[in-house]
Amino acid sequence: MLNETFHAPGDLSQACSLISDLGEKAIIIAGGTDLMVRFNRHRVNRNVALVYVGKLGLNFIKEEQDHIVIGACANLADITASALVQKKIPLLARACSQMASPAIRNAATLGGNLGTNARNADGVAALMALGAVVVTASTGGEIRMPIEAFVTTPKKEKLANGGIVKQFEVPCLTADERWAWEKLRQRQGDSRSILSVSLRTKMAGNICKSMRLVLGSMAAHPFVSKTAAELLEGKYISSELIDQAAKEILSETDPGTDSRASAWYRAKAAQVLIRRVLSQLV
Amino acid sequence: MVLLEISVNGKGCRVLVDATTSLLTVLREQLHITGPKIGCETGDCGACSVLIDGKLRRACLTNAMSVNGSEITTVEGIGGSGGLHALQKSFYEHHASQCGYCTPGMIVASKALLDNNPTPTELEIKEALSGNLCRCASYVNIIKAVKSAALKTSNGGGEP
Ligand SMILES: Cc1cc2nc3c(=O)[nH]c(=O)nc-3n(C[C@H](O)[C@H](O)[C@H](O)COP(=O)(O)OP(=O)(O)OC[C@H]3O[C@@H](n4cnc5c(N)ncnc54)[C@H](O)[C@@H]3O)c2cc1C
Ligand code: FES
Ligand code: FES
Repeated sequence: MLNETFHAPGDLSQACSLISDLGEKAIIIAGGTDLMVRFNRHRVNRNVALVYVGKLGLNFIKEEQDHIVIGACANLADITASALVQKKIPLLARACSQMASPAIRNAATLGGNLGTNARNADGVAALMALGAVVVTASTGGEIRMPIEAFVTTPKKEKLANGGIVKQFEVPCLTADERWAWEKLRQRQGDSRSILSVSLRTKMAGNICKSMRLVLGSMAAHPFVSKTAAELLEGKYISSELIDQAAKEILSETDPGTDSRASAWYRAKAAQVLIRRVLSQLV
Repeated sequence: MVLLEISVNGKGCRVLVDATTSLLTVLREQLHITGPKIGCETGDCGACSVLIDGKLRRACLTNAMSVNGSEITTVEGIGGSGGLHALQKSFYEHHASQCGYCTPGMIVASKALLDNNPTPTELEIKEALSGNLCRCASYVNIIKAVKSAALKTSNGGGEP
């Protein structure tokens, strides 16, 4: 017999205490677009306590000093449509607009995208290229962590005491910064990434001042390429350097094979996408 | 089990559900509203499309309890007692259904589009229906039907 319970706390501290009290049984649910697939497949032997985070008021998108702060429960449709996001961190608007389909974007949240822990989480890749910080809340207080550290930190540490992802703090692009987002997918609408390449950079003419290049679906998590920064920062971006970067960045990757593409294809296609995003800079 | 209270096509419903149950299961198996179809239950096909408080959603990916207190519209609630909606007439006139399995989802997704954008371009129609699959490949006629319904409703010639 099922022994499931459902909780819809109305504020964050109540939610944190509840999750801490429920312990291992607690499962956070936001838009449900990832979690419900799993529930639909395994109909039996569930003994869980669902904690719905949609009523915590975490769907805000606001500007604070030189950051855009996005609540973990903001959905992808609202992020795509947000004038603030479009103006200050357009990379994220572009990435969200290309995720899933309109019906899913009306429900799916950015916090949920991080929660999936998926190698092809596009929201995570975009936030990482932008240099976002994740803020979590628990009965033990709040923790702030760069998103690239968050994805590699064991769950027990980053969500201690049953923490909740509360918000993302994303530095606004400055006038001298550029960005790019490229997602390879099987078809234009409603398709998960085969891989993505995104970047945030500062250029002075053809000289690269800073480079944050992120690959999605090319390792267990989206990651910031160290090779790209080492190779390109302080250099004149020539087509030869772009070719070299496209080859050398591959050494950091560990592409897998799945129903969408083989590892071999991903490695080939990644070089094309890296060349494409870097060529936009010159 | 937990108590779910929702309004479906204007009618209040109270039903006991398991906490992990989808809205699609509640609609079809407990409320016997079978317009929303089970295609994949993975969010890929759009056959289960419904409006939740006016927004297009996947019923299969919607945890039923997470929409407690909401207003749900299924294909049965579009047109309704006032006769067929302009979209439904247009699907019929343009032969936009073959087996018809995708049709409820296509109509609901098209309704969501026209509610927000009464005069969509062909590209906007394709984007709005990008999450709805038709295994009979009626796509060309579906797009024609939506275009024609948009023309009629925006000229004041169809039901709201
Ligand atoms: C057809 C289809 C297409 C898709 N296409 C894409 C795509 O193109 N790109 C992409 O990246 N993803 C895609 N997805 C995956 C999914 O929709 C996204 O990852 C989405 O952002 C998940 O958000 P959610 O709110 O629905 O998460 P949920 O399903 O509610 O939760 C997902 C996980 O996150 C945890 N979680 C949720 N919120 C929090 C929080 N605030 N704090 C801590 N943990 C939390 C949950 O416990 C769960 O483990 C697709 C899914 C489907 C079904
Ligand atoms: S049954 Fe819901 S999308 Fe296929
Ligand atoms: S008409 Fe048969 S699936 Fe669309």
